Amino acid sequence: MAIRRGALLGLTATLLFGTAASGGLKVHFPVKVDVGNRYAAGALASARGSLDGMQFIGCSVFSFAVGTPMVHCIARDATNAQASCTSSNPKLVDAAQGLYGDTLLQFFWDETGACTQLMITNSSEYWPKAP
Amino acid sequence: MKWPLLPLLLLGPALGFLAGRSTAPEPASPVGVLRAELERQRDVLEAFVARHDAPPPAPILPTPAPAVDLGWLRAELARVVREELAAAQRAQAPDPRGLPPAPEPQPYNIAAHQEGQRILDDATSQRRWTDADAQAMRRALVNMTDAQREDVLRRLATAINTRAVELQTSGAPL
Repeated sequence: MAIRRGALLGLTATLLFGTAASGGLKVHFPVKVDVGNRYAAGALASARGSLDGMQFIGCSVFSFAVGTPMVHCIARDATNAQASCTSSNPKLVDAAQGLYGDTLLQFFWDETGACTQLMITNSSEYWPKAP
Repeated sequence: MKWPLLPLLLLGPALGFLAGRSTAPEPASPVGVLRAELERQRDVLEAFVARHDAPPPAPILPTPAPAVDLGWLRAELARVVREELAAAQRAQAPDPRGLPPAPEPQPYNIAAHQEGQRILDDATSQRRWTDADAQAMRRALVNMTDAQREDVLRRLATAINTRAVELQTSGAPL
């Protein structure tokens, strides 16, 4: 009887804590656009997984047969605030090519619409993109 | 002798009185006073009317100005000033990367740039950026120079940021 009770307790503890130990940090990062500070951020997967049907964030890299590659980043949040920037700076173009489905993208721009900073964070806590 | 003196004593003052009365001015009658005042007031009134009777100058009506997005306009002005300054500096300083200066735009470059600007102008006037605009801009970008591409894409970014256009694309604007 004591052995059966002990086994039952052990099984229960394994189910509870074992489940918690197998999970990691999960962060939902919806798109936010701060026009005043010229800053936009959002996890690509969170934007895609949102239910508002409004928000998106990402960058397009243009490579031309003649000329310098360019990057153009865009974001729109759930309040319909929108932001965009562009750059031909090779450092920023290279950075934008590191975007993937799990990426947290952040970017800053100046008053002329030029991107001044791109931050690409590929980390496990951001959801992978789902259909 | 006293007898002629008494009448003289009486007649003198009487004659004097009568002489004074005859030479004294007519006392102003109420009607006369009123008439004089009325004439004076009429003169004043006529002078006033003459001064203010001239037709008033035509009012200068301001022509209504078209609605202008000031934020977008400021950003555009800042962009143009920066570009002109940067171009002037580039013209003076050699490329630090040792690259030769960019060639002069060819007619097809200029045509593509003008097309890009037209697309932006149309979108701004209608305050929206659509998938059709994005497709047209992608085609125009192909034949532009680097500087021209940067120009139109910055203008597009500025228009988006200042809400001179509302995004109506299926996702990214390009």
